[in-house]
Amino acid sequence: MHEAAKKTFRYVASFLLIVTLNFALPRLMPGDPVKNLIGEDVYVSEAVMEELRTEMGLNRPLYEQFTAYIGDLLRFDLGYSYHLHSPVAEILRERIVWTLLFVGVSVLLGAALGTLFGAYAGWKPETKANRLACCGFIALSCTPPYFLALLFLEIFAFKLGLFPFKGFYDVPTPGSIAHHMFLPVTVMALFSASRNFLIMRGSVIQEKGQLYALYARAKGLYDISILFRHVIKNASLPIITLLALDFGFLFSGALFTEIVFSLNGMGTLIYDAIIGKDYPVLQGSFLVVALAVLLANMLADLAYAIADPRVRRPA
Amino acid sequence: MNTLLEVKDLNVSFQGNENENKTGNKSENKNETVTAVSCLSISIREKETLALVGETGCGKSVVAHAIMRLLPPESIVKGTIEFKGKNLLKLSEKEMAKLRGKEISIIFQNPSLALNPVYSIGHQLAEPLRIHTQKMRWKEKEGKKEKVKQKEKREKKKENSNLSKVSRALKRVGFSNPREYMGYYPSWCSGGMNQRFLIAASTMLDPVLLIADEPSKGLDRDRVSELENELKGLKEKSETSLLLISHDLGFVRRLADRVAVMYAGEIVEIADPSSLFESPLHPYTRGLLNSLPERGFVPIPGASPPLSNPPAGCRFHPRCPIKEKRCTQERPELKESNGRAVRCFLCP
Repeated sequence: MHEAAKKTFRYVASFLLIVTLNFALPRLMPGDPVKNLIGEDVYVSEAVMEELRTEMGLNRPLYEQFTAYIGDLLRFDLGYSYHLHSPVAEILRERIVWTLLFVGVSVLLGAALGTLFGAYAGWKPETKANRLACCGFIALSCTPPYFLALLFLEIFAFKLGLFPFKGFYDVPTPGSIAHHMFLPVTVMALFSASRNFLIMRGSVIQEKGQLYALYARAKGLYDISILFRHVIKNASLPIITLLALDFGFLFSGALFTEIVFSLNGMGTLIYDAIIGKDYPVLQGSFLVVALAVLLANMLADLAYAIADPRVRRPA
Repeated sequence: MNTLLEVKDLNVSFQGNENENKTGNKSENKNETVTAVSCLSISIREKETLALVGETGCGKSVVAHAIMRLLPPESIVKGTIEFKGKNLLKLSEKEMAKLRGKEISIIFQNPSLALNPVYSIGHQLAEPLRIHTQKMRWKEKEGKKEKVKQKEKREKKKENSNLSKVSRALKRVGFSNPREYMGYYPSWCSGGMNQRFLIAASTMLDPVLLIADEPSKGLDRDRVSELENELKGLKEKSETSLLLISHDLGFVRRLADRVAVMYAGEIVEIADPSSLFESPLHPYTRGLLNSLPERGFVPIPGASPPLSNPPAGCRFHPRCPIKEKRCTQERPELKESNGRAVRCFLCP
């Protein structure tokens, strides 16, 4: 129980740190949000600008802004976006479903593919096919996902016309959504798979040299069944960490992919908010992304306790 | 008694690149070939215990691994290993896998590493049962198609009988509440406990030949005597022959029917324990016995030769106190007389 209390404290502390940073970061960025809100080509008197500032609470001292921010947070009020003319919480709720769908499917697909291929490549690293696969996945992991996205868009959408260029759907049916999501999900899944592949390959190469693998052979198992019955569970432990890390990484990687495919998810929302200095939206989406990563880490922590008896104690 | 295992002229060498082989001898030159075992011949009769003794790095474990064909692929194994009339070196990997764990079992020297850290003790102990009964079930499937429900029932029954077999095996190695330990993991248990789990797993299917590779290594006196009792009990209760590899000479003396002494990849002397310990013939055996604490603690001068480049003539001559000129030039053969064998020119 002591260990659990320690862990909970750590997560609460990081949550508070995230909230504070989230408050501070947008205010440290250069530029005046009011000027940006109005636009540079329109002249507005100082008085009107001051009025707007008061309305948004930007002229108050920082600590007052901070307490107001915390108070709003507790009421699940993330502020109001002047750019999009709607409450931030509502915008986020609408957008995050799509990004979660997009990122979630890609991460899971990538993890499954990367783990399986990586395990096999690590089991027989000397075969030609596996060497080739290794080179391929190294190349993939070095390619920035937005470049891959552009390449895929060029080949499969423009040249071959197999897939639509943009958006999540034409009509909101599962078929149309799947058709639209195919290319972006493929790009992100490939990228995620390449990372998982390389980790898993190395992990299997390391684990198969352990004595328990030899003992499995001495018990009468042979070849691939040693991999599946003994090595793979040990070797896939680092994948849990990578999944949690990937979740955050893909959220940011998804940003570029979303822009390339013009998907209205979290990525484009953050991008537009940065360009337009839309503080409330920025704060809200950073908070959500940070929380998602925190949650993923927490899940990984729990998953380790289940998968690895070494971090557990007998009851 | 019939001969169960007959090893003839076994040669095991390792090709250069992999220097960290089982002999523990690291050669400086990358492309050297290390001959870990040369011209080794031993035989084990049914229900007999043969002990293989010698200092670390003389190739004892390599012999054990060679018999089970567990050596890494870069090793070169020559000679014949005949088990129940079959040459194990000629079998396919699949046929060999059928023998492993069922007819020939091994207990590794590092029990805590030999058990898989992420599976429970019960699961790992039941594994030999699962592996070697599954193959029979496949054959049944081919013969007649059972109804799914019946099959499920059967599988459940099998799983239950596996569990009770496991708990019986755990009781045999001295755990009074086996059901509790079956849910444990290797990392929760001490080395001595893991050692007993490993013995239980390896003897689960009553193998005809059990190879115990330094089972007493790293255990304290109490545990060693417990282990001794377990192995003794095992020999009495079942038909198992035992190949005992150890450098604990007292342990060997109490358990073995015959003792083979190895030096630098060769057997230098084979005898029954009482004559070996009371009147050792080979100078190496004598030196080995003199280095025991109870016999004066006199070490043999020098160090064992590198296996990548063994000395000419008798391999022991650089350290031998009674060497003659021909010892440095000719290689002595293993001479047999009165049921003992010794590899020395100067011994009768």
